[in-house]
Amino acid sequence: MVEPVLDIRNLTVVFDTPAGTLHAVNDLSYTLMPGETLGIVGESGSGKSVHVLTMLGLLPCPPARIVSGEVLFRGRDLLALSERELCDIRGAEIGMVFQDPMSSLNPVLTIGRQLREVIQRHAGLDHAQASARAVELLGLVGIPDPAARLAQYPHQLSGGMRQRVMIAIGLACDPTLLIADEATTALDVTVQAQVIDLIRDLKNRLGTTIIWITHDMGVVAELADTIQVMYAGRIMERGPIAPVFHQPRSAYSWSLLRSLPSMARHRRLYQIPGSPPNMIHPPPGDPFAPRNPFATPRCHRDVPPLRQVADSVPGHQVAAWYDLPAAVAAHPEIADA
Amino acid sequence: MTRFCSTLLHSRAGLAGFVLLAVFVAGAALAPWLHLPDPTAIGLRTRLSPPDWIGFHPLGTDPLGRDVLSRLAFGGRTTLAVALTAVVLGAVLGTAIGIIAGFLGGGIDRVLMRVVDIQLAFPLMMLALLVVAVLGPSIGNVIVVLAVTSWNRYARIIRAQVLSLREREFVLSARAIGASSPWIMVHHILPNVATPALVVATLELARIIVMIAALSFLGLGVQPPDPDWGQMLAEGRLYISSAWWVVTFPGLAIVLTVLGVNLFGDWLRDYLDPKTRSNR
Repeated sequence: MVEPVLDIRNLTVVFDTPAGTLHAVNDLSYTLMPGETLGIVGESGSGKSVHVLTMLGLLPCPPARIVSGEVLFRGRDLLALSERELCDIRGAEIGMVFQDPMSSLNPVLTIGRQLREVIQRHAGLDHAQASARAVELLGLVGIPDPAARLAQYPHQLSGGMRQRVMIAIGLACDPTLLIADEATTALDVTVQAQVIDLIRDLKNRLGTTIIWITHDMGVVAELADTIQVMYAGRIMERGPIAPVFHQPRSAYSWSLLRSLPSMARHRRLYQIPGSPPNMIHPPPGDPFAPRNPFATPRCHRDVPPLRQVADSVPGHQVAAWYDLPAAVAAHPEIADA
Repeated sequence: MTRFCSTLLHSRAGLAGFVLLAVFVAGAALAPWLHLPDPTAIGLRTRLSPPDWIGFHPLGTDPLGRDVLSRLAFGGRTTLAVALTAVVLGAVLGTAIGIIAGFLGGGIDRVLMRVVDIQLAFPLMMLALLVVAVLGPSIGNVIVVLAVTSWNRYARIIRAQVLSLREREFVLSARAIGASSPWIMVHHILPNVATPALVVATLELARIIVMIAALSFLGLGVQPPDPDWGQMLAEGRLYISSAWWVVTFPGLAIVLTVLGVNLFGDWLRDYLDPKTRSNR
């Protein structure tokens, strides 16, 4: 059996705020297989960024506090490692690309210096070798005339180019896992498409395992093998792209998909009623229940566990007390609203 | 280096500042080889002789008959050397403390900033006078005193910069590639605060030159018979109505050096900023 690259078990993270304890990530568990591309979607505050920052030890504690759980990366618990050991993993075995390419590069250092930094830090190459590797990486991410770019500063590059540089930095040491946190959100749509093409191409060539965090369902559909829909620090639904998109089983993913504009169906866009729950006082049951038109009394009472969907492909899991296809069929007026 | 020269030649103010500084630094540095009269040689028969541009005393002589030009050149040696050392000491200390306080925050930050507050509440000249009076006037003490009165300005400004810098995403991405806090402070934060530190340093250099002059003027700086600009001012002030050259030339030397430092510093800041760099 193949070892998973990442195995997150019962991760719970809270923030101690003056207003009370904020439950950011609640009992989160999932595994990621080698070569898999996982797309994590969810709105702001769903815990999607917080849980990756937690596993890399990048979350300031306090105010954050890891209540329980373990994050096994190739068999090692990242949460139990010292800061020093984590430093050796970050950038080398786990690469990370952040949202805003405008601010994630240091404005006063050249592109070359920032690329060499990670290469020299982890690969132990000398200056000339690191420069050669930097040129190679910039070529890999499709930057024209890479050798000349090394001497340039971030402000001399366009947003798309900078994000390519960030991806090059993320991939510099051939990481096992690449985490992209909203990596295409700050880019305009054409550049977004180029970056997605680039990632797909790199994934096929290098076989890197990828976690792609976004709130854009379209990007996930383009890129991921598996989609994981998160809400209020929990997984609402998870599974291979096709079944989740074609027949979602969670009312939340169903609502998200219905709020996407469609070329085929001409109807009003669906609007999810209400707003995300206050995570200092989360609802007792299914966190989405207050906004869910199909919610059953039990939804308001008990938290549903994440279970395999009986009549779908293996790996398609949902956390819901209701049976969504049946509920939609029973209430066509909601579905057509 | 060629880029340095070509951009400098295009900036009138920067070039003027550089030339002014170069004249005074060169004059001070090369003083022993300029075949000047002995700056400490007293000549009572030639006391207070007016400037004689082509003669033996081009800028005249002081009340003891010592050559003003020679004293200006030798005095520049001490003034500039003391000022530069004090500025470098203060800048290094203040920048390091500012980065540490701003980046690490918490208790370290609170303690360091209270020290700054206490010192800012204390009149600088008082402090300088007190220290020099207690430890005795010597060049080493003057340097230490000036550095001590100077570091808190860097610390304050740099800390404020670092507070906003450390929240920037590039710090997080540096962590994400495995950089440790000390590494980030040196390799990511320091280059970002180098420009403001340099701006403060030019202002401080000017202020410190004036402070040295003031200390010497009060007799707590460089001790006679060693020449110093401030001390020359002090000695010449009695003769301002009868022998204007004795105070005018050291006064001019101070004004022009400070002006040169400010003009050149201003240009240097633009030169070092990567945003303006690439446009050239």
